[in-house]
Amino acid sequence: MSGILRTGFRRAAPALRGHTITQTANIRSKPAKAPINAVETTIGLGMLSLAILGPSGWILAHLEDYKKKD
Amino acid sequence: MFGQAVRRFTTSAVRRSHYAEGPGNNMPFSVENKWRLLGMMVVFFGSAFTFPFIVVRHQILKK
Repeated sequence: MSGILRTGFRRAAPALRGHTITQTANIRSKPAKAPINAVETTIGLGMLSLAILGPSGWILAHLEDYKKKD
Repeated sequence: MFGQAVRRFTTSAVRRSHYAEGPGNNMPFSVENKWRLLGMMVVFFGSAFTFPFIVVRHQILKK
């Protein structure tokens, strides 16, 4: 128990000290090579949604028909 | 000193390989045309997701 408290305080000490220097990396990136505007995004998301929801939704909607086709 | 040696190694590796390397070239599909990529993704993910539903339909229609 005391060992856990000691380890916890030892690890938290630098942060609690208040005089630490935070190091940050300067991350830069270039603009996109193939930008995708709002219309293209809608088309892409729409088609992917239809690919997932379409056929499976159609099958689920006709389940009663398949059961009745006995 | 190590930086220069590493640079020499990576330059010679690119010159030696006959495969395209770098972003967009390390995958088994092409990202050259975004609409063809969309089509490929629709077929790939759509077929995989729909298959179990087709199986269920087949099983219900069988009995």
